[in-house]
Amino acid sequence: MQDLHRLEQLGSTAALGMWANDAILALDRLGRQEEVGDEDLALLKEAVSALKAASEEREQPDSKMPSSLAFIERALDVAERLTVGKGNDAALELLAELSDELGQIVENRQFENGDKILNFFATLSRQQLAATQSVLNSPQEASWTAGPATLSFS
Amino acid sequence: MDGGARDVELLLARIKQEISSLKEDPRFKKPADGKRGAGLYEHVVDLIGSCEWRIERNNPGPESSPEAQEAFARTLRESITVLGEAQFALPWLIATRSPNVNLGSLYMSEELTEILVGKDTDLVIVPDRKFMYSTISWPFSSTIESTPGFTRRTKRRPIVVHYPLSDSDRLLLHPLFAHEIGHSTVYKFKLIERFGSEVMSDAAFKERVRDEAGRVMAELSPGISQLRLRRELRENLRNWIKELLCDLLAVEAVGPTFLWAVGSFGLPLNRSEPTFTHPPTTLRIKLILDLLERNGWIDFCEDAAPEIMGLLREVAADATEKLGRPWDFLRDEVLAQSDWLRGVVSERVGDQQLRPVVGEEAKRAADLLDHLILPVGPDECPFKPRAIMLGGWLHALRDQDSPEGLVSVQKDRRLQDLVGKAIEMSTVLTSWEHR
Repeated sequence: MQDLHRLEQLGSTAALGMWANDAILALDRLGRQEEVGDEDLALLKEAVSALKAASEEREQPDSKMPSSLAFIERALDVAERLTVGKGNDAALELLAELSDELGQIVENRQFENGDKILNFFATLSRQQLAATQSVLNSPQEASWTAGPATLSFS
Repeated sequence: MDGGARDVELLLARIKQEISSLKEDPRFKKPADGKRGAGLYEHVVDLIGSCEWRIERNNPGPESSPEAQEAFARTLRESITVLGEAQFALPWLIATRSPNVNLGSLYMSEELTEILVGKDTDLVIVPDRKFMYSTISWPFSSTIESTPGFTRRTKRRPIVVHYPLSDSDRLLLHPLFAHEIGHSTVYKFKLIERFGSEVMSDAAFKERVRDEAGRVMAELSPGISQLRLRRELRENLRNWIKELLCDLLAVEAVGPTFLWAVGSFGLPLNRSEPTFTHPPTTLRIKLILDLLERNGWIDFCEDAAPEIMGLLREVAADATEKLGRPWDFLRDEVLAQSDWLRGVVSERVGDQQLRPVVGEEAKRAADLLDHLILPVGPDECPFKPRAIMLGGWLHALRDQDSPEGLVSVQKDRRLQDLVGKAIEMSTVLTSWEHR
C-alpha cells in the first residue's frame, strides 16, 4: 500500500473511532445529567441521521460528519455482526431501531436505558481501534478493506 | 481495566511525549506566512490542537460509567497513533524549503492546483522511494474535523503529491500530477458524495446492485451475506469513479499530454487488469479518448502521433471485453455514467479547460524545440505553461511515433530540461506582467 493511501486510511479509521467514542461520552454526560453542550447534541443528531441513512443503505451528501461515507459502511458491518443468524434484514432493522431510539434520547434529553445504543457505538469504536492497529502494523496490505468480503470476489 | 486511572495516566504521558517530540523537532519550523509549507505547518498545529482539545473536554473522570472510561481510553490510543503518524509531515516540510522537483514542473503544478482546487492551497511535491504517483489532501483533517467544537486555524488546504524518485526530471510524465491534484478536487467538492446522491440513490441502481450481489453470492461467495456484498460493490464502484473523475479532470486541465503520459507510464504497468481500487487501463483510456474527442482534441492527437493513437484506440476497444464478475458490473455501471462523469468535470474546470486553440501555441513551441531554442515565446506574451508542455510532447513524438517511442521519449533529458526551463521563465514573465 502506498504511504499516502495508508495515512489516509489510518486517519479516517481513527477519526471514526474517536467519533464513536465522543458519542458514548456525550451519552454518558446526558445520563449523569451533566450539562450537555450544543456540540454534544449536534453530534448525537448527526448520529441519528447517519444511522437512519445506513438503515436505508443510502448516503448523506449533505452530512457535516467527517468520514460519513465510511460511517455508513462501517455501521452496516457492525449491525451485521450484532445480528448474526437473525435473518437477512435484521441488520437494517437494528440500525433503524437505533436511529429511532437515539432520536428519542436527543429529543427528551434523557438517557437512562440505552444498552443497545452504547453497545453499538462501543463495538464500532473497538473495531475502528483494531482496524487502526492493523493498518499500522501491516503496511503492505489493505487490512481493513481486504477482509473476507473482498477476498470473496477473487 | 481499559480506561482505569493508571491506564489513563500512561496514555496521557505518551500523548504529551508525542506532542513535544513534534513541536521540539528542529525540522518542524514555521515557514513565513503565505510561503510554501505554511499551510501544511498550520495543519499539523491544528492536529495537535484538536487532540489536546478533545482530551481536555472529554476526560470523563472516575465518577463516569465504565463504558465512558473505556471509550476515553480508546480515543487516547487513537490519538497516539495519529500524532505518531504526523511525523510524516517533517520530510514534507523540508521538501517545501528545498524542492527536488524541477521548478518549471512545480510552477505548472501550482497553476493546475489553482485551476482544479482553488487559490487557498499549499502544494507539496515530494519524491518517494516507491515506484508510483500518489497524493493526499488535508492529511490529518479527519481527526481535526471530527473534534466537536474545535475550529481549525488554517484555511489553506495542504496537498501532498508523491512521485517516483526516478521521475524527478522526466517532465513529460508530470501531466500525471494533474490526476493526483484531481483527488483534492474530488475531496473538496464532495464529488463522490454527489455521485452517491445523484446516481447511487436511484431505485434502479439499487436494484442492479441487489441483483449483482445475488449473482456474486450464488457463483463466488456462498458464505458471504448479500448485505456485505452490496457494501463491497458500492465501495468498489466509488473507488473506480473517483479514479476516473481524476483522469477526466486531468484531461480537462492538460488535454492530450495526460493521455500520452498515461500511455507512457501507466499502460506498461497495467492494461486489462481491474483491481478493487482502480479500473483497468483499457477503461481509463477509453474514457480519456472519449473526452478528448468531445473537447475537440482528437484530430490534433491523430496528426501528432497516428501510430500511437492506433495503439491507444486498440487499448480502448478492449474496454468492453469480458472481465468476469464483479468487474463487468462495475465497468457497465461506469459506462452507463460516462455522461455524468464528463458533465461533472467539465462543470468543475469550466473556462479554464485546455482548449484546442492552444494547440497552435504548442506547435510553435515544438518548432522552437526542433532548433533547440527555449520554447518560451515572446517576452510580452509568453507561451502558456500547459502549451509548452504540449509542445514538448509534440516535439518528442515527431520522430518517435511508435509504441516504443511512447516510452523512450522519457529518455531525452535535454528536451525535458528545455521544457522545464521554458515553463519556469513563462511563469516568471507572466507573474512580473501581473505585478
